Amino acid sequence: MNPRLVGGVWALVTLDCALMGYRLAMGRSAVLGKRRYHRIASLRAGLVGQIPILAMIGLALVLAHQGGPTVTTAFDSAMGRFIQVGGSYAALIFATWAFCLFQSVTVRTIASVFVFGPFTLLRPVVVVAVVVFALGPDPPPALLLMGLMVVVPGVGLEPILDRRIATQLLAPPPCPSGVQSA
Amino acid sequence: MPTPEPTGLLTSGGARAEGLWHPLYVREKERIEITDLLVDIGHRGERLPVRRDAVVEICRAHDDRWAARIVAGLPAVGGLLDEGYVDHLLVVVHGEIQRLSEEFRHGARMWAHVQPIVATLRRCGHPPPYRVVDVGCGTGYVVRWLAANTNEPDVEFVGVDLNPALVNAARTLADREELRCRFEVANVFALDEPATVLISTGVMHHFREGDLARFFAAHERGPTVAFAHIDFQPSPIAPFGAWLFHRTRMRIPLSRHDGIRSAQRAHPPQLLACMAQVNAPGFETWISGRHVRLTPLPCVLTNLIGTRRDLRESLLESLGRRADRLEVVV
Repeated sequence: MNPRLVGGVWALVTLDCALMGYRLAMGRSAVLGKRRYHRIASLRAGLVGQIPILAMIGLALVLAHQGGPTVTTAFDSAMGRFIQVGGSYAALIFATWAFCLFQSVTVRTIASVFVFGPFTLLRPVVVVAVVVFALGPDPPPALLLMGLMVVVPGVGLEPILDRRIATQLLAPPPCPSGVQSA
Repeated sequence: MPTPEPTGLLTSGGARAEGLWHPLYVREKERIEITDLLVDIGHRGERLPVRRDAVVEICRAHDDRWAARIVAGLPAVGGLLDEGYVDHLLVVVHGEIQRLSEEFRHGARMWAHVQPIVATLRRCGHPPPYRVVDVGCGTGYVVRWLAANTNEPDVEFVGVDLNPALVNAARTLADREELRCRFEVANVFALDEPATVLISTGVMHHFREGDLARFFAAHERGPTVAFAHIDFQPSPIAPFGAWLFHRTRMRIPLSRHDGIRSAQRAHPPQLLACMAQVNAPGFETWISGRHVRLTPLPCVLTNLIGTRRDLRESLLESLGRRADRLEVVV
């Protein structure tokens, strides 16, 4: 498999894990200064994500090796398409983030209303769309398996973790005021 | 949530405003927020027990099955809602709401209104300290933001709420961050040291009918010289926007429910301005920022700004070019 394409997919999925960690950390700390808290949450999620990501890359390498050149080519094409669509989504989010460096209330609000809010809601759809587009019309079984292994946690993990966090938050308060620490 | 004053506020202005209410704003079934129903404060500020079934019944009576389901799932002791759990739940919910306050920069947004007001007071020789009091401060995000991000030695930032659990959480956070601000469990209109400037964020929609009239009437009677109230702006896309943001940003069902209902219950800015003008006639009142600049798009939030009439010219001068965005509702 093309190492550049593997690297591109690794970077995108790692980024997605880090952003998921950022989102999961939000709304749990009421302190004002939370940059370090969010940085740690993102890094932790990015690092924890390495275990399944590297396992899947390893599995893909094995499957491609066993399947021969046809499957290897199918994997490379799929990864190219994955980067094409997933990269566009990531670029949009980062461009909007850069736009928000203007310390304007209006700019930040517009960014939230038109990009961050809707595109966070659409993220599961984007994950499915990216994988479906990457698989192409007639994917070999090995590629289909990999696609499923990306879609299922990509769509299902965050809501499960969100629900767990909600349960933890609503458990009896850890301190008299009930304020969560950062 | 805060109420202006439990009794004795039915002024003539309030009564007039209640008459004004109906032609402008009539709904067959009023939307409700669960947080308004979970805590009952008596006339002397004491906490009254709340029957879970009664709250469920209110939700059903308002055709809000979602709310009824959420309330029915809350723990109760002998049929009464567990006060400790309710307090904890409210703190958690306010923590989630802060997520949106951060995203929509409520602190900076409020300072953009308060700063010119304070400049006006200084210019007009109003004696300091200038006490900026946040009505219904919750866990005090805006007050803490103002204390952390401004350097005004003659300005005091105070947060007031009727719920002791929320005020305790605000105090804990302010202490941890070593901020120069304070929080009180009190009726904002009965403070020992009254407000010079009253502010609020996302509070006005909690006041229905006569309460809103009484809220503004109470502004008129005290020594308050200006106010800046920010709340959701109703628009055709607001309910969808509220659903979208609370779906993506909140994880507690109660936060989602009340967040969405807040946008549905929001008062039109014209109504707020009319209520302020009628019930607080000593103030010049403006609406600011109804549309995104240079577009017909409605803003997410509406700003109601008022100042005593003798400060009007000076405030407009302090606002500079921003004064162009102020609208007077006649």
